[in-house]
Amino acid sequence: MLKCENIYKKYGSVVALDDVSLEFRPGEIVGLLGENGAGKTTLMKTILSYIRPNKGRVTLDGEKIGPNNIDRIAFATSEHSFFGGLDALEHKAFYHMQFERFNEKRFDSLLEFFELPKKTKIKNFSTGQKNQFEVILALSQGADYILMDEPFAGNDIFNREDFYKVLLGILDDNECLILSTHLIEEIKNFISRAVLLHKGQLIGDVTTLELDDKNIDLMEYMRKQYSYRSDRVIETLMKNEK
Amino acid sequence: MVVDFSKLELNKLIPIYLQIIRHVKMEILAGNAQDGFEMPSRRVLSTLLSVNPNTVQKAYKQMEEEGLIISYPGSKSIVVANEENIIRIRQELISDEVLSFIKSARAMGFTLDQAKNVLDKYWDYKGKEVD
Repeated sequence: MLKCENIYKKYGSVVALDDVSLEFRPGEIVGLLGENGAGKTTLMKTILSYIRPNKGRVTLDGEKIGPNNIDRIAFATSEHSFFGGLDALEHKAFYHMQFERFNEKRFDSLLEFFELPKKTKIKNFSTGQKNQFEVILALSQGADYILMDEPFAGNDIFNREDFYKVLLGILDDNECLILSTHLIEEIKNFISRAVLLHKGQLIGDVTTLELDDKNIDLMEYMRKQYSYRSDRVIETLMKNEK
Repeated sequence: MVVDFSKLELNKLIPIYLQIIRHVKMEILAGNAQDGFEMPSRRVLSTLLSVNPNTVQKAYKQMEEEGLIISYPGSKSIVVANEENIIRIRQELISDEVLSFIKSARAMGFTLDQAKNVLDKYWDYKGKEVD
């Protein structure tokens, strides 16, 4: 279990994450949803310890994230964090050396699925291809928790639809996928759980089975959570006026 | 033989797991899914429909509880299209349709007799222009 406890992060005077507590479990496909600046990327980077929170902690099966367990978490940043001068096959060789559980079969099949060239330097890939390649690396690392920040940027709708199918086909029952996205309509049947951030606060956390039982749509749920929150904002404002 | 899901088009109005169950029932009534037919594996159906495995699992579980399918260890699931099931599904699906018809008819201010007349009028209707 990947556990975030009371994460609080401030950039200058801006609160990016406000006391966020969350748990991610094996087998989940989690949609991390929220407007731009809601804190999605900050949360992901905090999990990977790229960002040090002002308060709170992240643990993986009870242990702090560090050199011993960081390989169990993968992250496709959409910031193109790889070696521009190396081609796909050279990246594969490097990942093979770095990660004991590197999944070569998955890497090869995904490279084929996206029709990416094997021997072109990554810096000469298009933006869409770079995003795809990052996703491939994250999925092939052999991690238990796979994080993706806007992984579908630069992919057209047909490619994305196929991509959802491929993901559903290849993910093991013990892998956990956490992805941030704006494409709510598209991913609502694909995810098993939706986590909703708004202005750095956790304002919603629901499984899609719970939504089914209540017979409400993800979009409707999000609207409710948002308006509940804005009611509270108004309430606070009115109290302060008195 | 495996139950065919290629013609199932998901809509946004009803929970997906209910649409999966309804599809199986329709296939049984249409005679396309016969007794002993295999269900696709949960993973295959999840991939085919681009739907989370939990949703498929929920549909299969409910169908097991209804006696519509039997699942064996190793996760193979078989359709039970015996007479008892067919009679039950037929009743159930027609009731759903009739209930929704009644609801609309009532909302439009029809009496029972008027609604019956509409049924009579269109019972033999074969898609010609309505006069």
